[in-house]
Amino acid sequence: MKRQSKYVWLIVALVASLLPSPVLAWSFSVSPPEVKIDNLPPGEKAEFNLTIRNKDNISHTFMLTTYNPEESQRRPERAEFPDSNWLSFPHQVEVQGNSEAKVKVKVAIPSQQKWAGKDWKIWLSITPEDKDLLVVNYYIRLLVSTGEEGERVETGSHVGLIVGIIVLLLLGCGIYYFRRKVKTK
Amino acid sequence: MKKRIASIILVIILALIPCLPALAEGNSTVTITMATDKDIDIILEPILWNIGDVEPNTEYVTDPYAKWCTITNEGNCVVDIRIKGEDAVWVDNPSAYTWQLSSDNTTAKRKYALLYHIAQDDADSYTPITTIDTQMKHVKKGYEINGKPLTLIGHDDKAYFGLKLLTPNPDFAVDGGGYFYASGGGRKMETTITISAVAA
Repeated sequence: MKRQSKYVWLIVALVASLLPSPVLAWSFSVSPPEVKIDNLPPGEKAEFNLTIRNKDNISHTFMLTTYNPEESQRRPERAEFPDSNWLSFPHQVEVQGNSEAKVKVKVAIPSQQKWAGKDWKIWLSITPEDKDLLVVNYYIRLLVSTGEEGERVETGSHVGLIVGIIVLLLLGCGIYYFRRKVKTK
Repeated sequence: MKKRIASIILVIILALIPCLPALAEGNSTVTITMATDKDIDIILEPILWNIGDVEPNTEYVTDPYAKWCTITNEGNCVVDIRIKGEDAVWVDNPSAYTWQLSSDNTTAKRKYALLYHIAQDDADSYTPITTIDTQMKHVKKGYEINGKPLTLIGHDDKAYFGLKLLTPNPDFAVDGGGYFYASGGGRKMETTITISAVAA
């Protein structure tokens, strides 16, 4: 160190305070505050949109991340979301002044049946990229419940089988009918 | 002949009737429920605290101490308020010189503390701000609100809080006092406190 000084400056954004600050108070909103996805079977995807409204006159970039709330913040029946990589969304969104942006969030559950019949919770965090001493952050509660074990996969194969049998039977009847008709002529 | 074919088709349909509930079950739909008419929207004012030069091992309090910052609920849902701090960094070279944020109200060399006080709580009650995002909670002993989260109920509801800063112990101690290391007349330090809102 060059020398010791009696003081160190803990001037929080002094420059910003001396110059006319573009942001006197954070002014943005997010909707909806909570999203509940029910009956999402393993191997399937669900999508929804969040709306970020920038009420400031200038453009701002917002950062999106996931956050696993502490246990006391989770409803008793809901466990921590197993893997935040199952959620996909843009991690940065620029919103022009006095306008809004829709952010598409996709939830994809892996196809393993061990993920069936679960109830999870995770929060999505939305905060401006620009920082002052105080910065506002919003959490969106995302509640995800997966469908019952194997339900979708098994019934899906039943449908195919049943439709196949019907088609084959109708085809057989048709052939039989036309052959008989030809013979009678 | 036609009768025979019709009978076969009828038998097939009758045979498939037991399968219909299974088919219906197979069409279980994914439901997404969200209240798009609700939004989270809070405003903080002010968002800057210009302290100026600080001395080691000293306490600084916002003015006013309890109603320095106003949180206003501009949205239309009930929100809980949370708070998180960060280490303070030297603006010119953040990795070269930092002050670690204390997890309580103790300070040490290069370890500082930030605390908050909610208006109308006990006068001397300050709660440490840590790097872990936590609910802001009232401290008002003997009252029902003690230990309850800071909640803004509905549009235009307001809450107030103030901050306290405890600077680190000196980097270099001399007779009865001390100094922070500085280069070229002082270092400008900065930190950020994140105030979060989540639907209650």
